[in-house]
Amino acid sequence: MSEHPEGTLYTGGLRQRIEQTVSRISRIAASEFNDDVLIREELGIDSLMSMEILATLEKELDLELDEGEFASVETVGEFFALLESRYHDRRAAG
Amino acid sequence: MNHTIASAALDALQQWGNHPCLVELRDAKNALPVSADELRRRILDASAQLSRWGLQRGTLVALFLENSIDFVVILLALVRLKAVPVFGKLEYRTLELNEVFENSNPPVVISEQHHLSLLEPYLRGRTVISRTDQAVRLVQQRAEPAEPADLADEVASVNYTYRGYGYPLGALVSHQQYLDGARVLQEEGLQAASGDRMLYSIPMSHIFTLVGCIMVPLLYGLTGIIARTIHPRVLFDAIDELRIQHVTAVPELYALLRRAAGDSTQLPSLQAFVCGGSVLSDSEYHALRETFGVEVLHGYGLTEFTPVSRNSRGKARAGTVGPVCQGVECRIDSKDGSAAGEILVRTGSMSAGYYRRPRESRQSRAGDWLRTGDIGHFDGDHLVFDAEVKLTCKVNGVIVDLEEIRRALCLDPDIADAIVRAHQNSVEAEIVPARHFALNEKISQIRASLKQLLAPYKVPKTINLQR
Repeated sequence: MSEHPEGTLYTGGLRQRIEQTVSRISRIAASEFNDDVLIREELGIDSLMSMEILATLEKELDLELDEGEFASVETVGEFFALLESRYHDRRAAG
Repeated sequence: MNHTIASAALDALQQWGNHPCLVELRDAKNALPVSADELRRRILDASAQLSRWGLQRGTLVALFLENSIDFVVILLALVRLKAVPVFGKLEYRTLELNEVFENSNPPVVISEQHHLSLLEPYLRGRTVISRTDQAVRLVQQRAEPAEPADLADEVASVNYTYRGYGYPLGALVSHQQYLDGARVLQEEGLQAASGDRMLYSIPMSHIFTLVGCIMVPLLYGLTGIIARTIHPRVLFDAIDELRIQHVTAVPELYALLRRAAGDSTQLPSLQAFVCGGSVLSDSEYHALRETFGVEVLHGYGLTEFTPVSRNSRGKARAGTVGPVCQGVECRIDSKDGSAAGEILVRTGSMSAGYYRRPRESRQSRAGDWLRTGDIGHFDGDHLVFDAEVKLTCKVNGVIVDLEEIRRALCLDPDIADAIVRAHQNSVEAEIVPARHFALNEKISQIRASLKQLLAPYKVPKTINLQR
């Protein structure tokens, strides 16, 4: 499967990679990552765990993520949208 | 009393001149240093300003502040006036705030500006001072000067903690405890050189941070590096760029740093990790040593007295919290004659009890010994922490009262009772319904309600119906 920044295949692949990372760190099945699920209240992801997720994703996706931006994220859908956006920004910037 | 923590710190700062004594890491690329001379001047100026705003000897002052240089300035300015800081946590919500404000009834609140809206129900009739990174401002002033609290001069601060009663208790912490604690942590434990740098990002309102991260560097000429983040990349960059020798943190944060460290993480300046707040396993101790090549100095203490024991440079052992500190007596209360039992401690500078809680203060004592509520045993001269006997646990190094969570759950009219347990650095609950309901439909409402009532880290990770 080739990467395509504009295409759904690419986005789907990216989301799957992020889901695997989050699932591995949080020990929560990826099937629970529905877009409207609350990250902290419903998945129980605390500040330490979220920082480990950010740090791991930074390495895996070659990004620098601003934790301040993630502090205001509440749902799984918002989390993935922000990550995908940062990933595409990074690629666009070369 | 020879010294208050303010007079001891101001005397120490006078010896340093232009040496940088604090650096505030506002973000990854923005470090704000302050010299000893400048910090001393700011403490004296703040003290004069707070006095003009009506604060005086015996005034109780609730603090809701983030990690910052201002935290240190305000703390020492208050103590210089002989006002008494009451440490609040920014995570506190309705149940904790109700208790802190009812119990201590502080006439003055100093808070981060962004936090005032959450405190709004508690601010009427009190002097309110706000803080931002730009300024500390008087928001409102009481009409009448506050009556001084009924506290002895030896009391430096009121520090809220838990013992399983279901509500926080304000431990009366003496100046001598801060000074003795800092002395043994430095002279018997860390043995840092003057000019060394210590990084910390745990909240400054915790007793471990107050003693180990604020008082130790100020009194012994270390530069304290204050971080507001636990992001591993930011902390690694700071350690590398500022050539930091020592880090003080809880085991859970060290574990995060270890997992985040890659093969390319080289931090040659690092010498020691000072560790406390919760249990550090044998395996984590060895993994930290292997990953970072540093000494790991684990210790044990309570809000009522810290530290009780500490490991020392060159003599640290995995799985123990080290030998008992000089000046502290410690024995194991083992009724059945076994080696393990409740840890009892006795020292001249121990907390005098809990503010306006005579029953709980009495129950925490066995004669003149403090019942720690923790189970331990001795392995040679090293103390080993086994478990908590009181109804509390630690989540990421922060004490959590299981009874407080049960009470919060039972405020829901649909919940008849609940069982709350500690489970792997988090909390889980089983609820007994008062009427039939489908848990999957009700659970969001329960969590939303708990979020209003309790600090977020206390909300149970799992909530199930009792089987």
